[in-house]
Amino acid sequence: MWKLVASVVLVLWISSYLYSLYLDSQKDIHELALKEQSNISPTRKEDETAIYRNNQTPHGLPLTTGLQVRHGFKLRNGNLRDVWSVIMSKKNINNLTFLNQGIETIVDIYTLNSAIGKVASFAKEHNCQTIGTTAPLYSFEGFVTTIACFVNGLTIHNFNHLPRSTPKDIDLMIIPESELNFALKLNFKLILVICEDRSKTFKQSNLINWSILGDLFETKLEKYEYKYKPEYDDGTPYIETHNFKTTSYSHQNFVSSIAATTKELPLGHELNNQDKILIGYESSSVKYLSKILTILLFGGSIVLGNSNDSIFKPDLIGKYSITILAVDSNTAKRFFLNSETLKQYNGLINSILFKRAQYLLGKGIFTQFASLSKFKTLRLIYIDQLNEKNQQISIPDLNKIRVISNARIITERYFPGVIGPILSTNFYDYRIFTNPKLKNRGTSSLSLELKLFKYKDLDIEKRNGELCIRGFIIGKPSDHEDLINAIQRGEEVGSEGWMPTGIIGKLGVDGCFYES
Amino acid sequence: MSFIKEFFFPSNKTEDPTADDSTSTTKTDPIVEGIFTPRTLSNFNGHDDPKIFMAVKGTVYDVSAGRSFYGPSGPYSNFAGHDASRDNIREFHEPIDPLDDLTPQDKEALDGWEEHFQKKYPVVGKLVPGN
Repeated sequence: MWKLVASVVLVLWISSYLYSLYLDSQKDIHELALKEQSNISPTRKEDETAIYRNNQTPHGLPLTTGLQVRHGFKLRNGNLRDVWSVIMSKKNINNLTFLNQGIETIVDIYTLNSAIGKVASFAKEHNCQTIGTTAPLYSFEGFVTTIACFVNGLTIHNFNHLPRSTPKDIDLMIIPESELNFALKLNFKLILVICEDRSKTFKQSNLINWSILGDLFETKLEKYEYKYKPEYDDGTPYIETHNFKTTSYSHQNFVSSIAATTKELPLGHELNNQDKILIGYESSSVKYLSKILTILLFGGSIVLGNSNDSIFKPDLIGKYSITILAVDSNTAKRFFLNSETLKQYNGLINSILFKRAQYLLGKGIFTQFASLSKFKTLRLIYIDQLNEKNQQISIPDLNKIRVISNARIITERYFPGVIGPILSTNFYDYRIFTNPKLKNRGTSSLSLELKLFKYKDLDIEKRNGELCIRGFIIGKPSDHEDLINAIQRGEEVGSEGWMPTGIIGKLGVDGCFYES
Repeated sequence: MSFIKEFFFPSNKTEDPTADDSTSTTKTDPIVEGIFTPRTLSNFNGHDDPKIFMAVKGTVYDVSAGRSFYGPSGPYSNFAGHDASRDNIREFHEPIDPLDDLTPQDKEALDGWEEHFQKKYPVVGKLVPGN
């Protein structure tokens, strides 16, 4: 009898051991890699932590500064004209779909290039150097104007609301007709009005109907003539006034952010010309730009909209065969954790599979057996960790989305005045922690380095403090007073280009930042 | 009971990386950049402390990355934990070398060494007289 029991226990023990070996072999990444996600400087200053960098840009090597375009025997960072010239040189035709106020507008890249030329000609004709607009980036008009400025050495000033007083630098303002009454009070030099009625005319001499640019969908232009000049790297291509705070961004900011987005993905999961991104956030245009330009750079296609728009639904993933999704936390929940989707895991078997897949994710094993076929095209989801209302998404919920969508997730932490995320989680990080309250924000962008500075009574020796960042994707406050404030705040946290963020948290022993 | 539970239903949770008593890493915390005297510097010789520091022209560098050169049994191990501005090193109880009798060639060679260290190793502090 005892022999039988001993044999059974032995068989169970051996099978359990072999199964654990099998599970270890199925992990996407070794757990040691997740335990050391940052490269940490060997020294630190008083009242500060050491400087943390992403493992891909360790200390001793430069941060990601640009696209490394070959120029003779040298490499240069590039500018937005370089980016557009590469986009236009791609052989496959990539499409852009704009979802704005319930209407879908689809254009191919050559039609867009032709429209850009027309907008640029109009700006040149009227001696416009800075163009302001309240047309959102996810509208055709807003996008065409933005790219026209980027590739013609002009400045685009994007407002999410019309300003309270007349900005002095705006030569031409482009607005939807619904905002005309308020815009007239601001005495702009020249206003292009986006009207539904293409034949509408105005009494005022400074008002022109957008339709004066002609039919922008009519012609295609396959070439973008471009020869590099060093002065193309200078200037301010983009200014954003978001909730009445104005920040200007340089070419360096853009190319650094694009390069960081490109290099962030691991081997075997890089961007390619088959990618189609559905991108929608609640507000700031600057969140869209680096991802849109990066996908276009690889020859992929874009579907962009506002996540609050009624048309922005999960059905879009199947409709457009979306491979990459970039949304805020609330939209991610709405897409994947709605009652209708979760209902599909109500049955006994599906429920077991759902739980088993989540369990395996916690072990570092990504499986497909519990995913839903309607999301089968998805391979990657970028989730903005905080939306406008500070709504967050928990780590177990992220794993549920991974199971349902069969896609990897990179969660991102944005900060106003910075292009692209300042922090993002590892592509393969599915860990569930013993402490359920942890908010893992990940490691720094490849274009940034970070440190914590002493904050009130928090113990800096235990790596608690205020997050400070330094690097190439940080914009510059346009308002003189804001700039002086930013410099003063920088000096308080050690100067040398450091920018305090006001984000309080702790650096874990794994090199990730955990927000309080 | 917990052993049996762990045997049949192993946990998939990762230890809290923010816990103050986390054991998931054995790495020591980074050194605070600061002021070293010849005596305090002498501790960082690779024997008494695994970190290796060296001073050149009054600046202290962390040369731990070059352990094969400056660490125990390395060809330059005598410089570890010392002011290495001159071949003929002074012990910690001796005053700091003022370097006021260097020939122009010596100065040039020393500047070259300083440049080499600046490029290669992080600065961790200053060397000042005292105990």
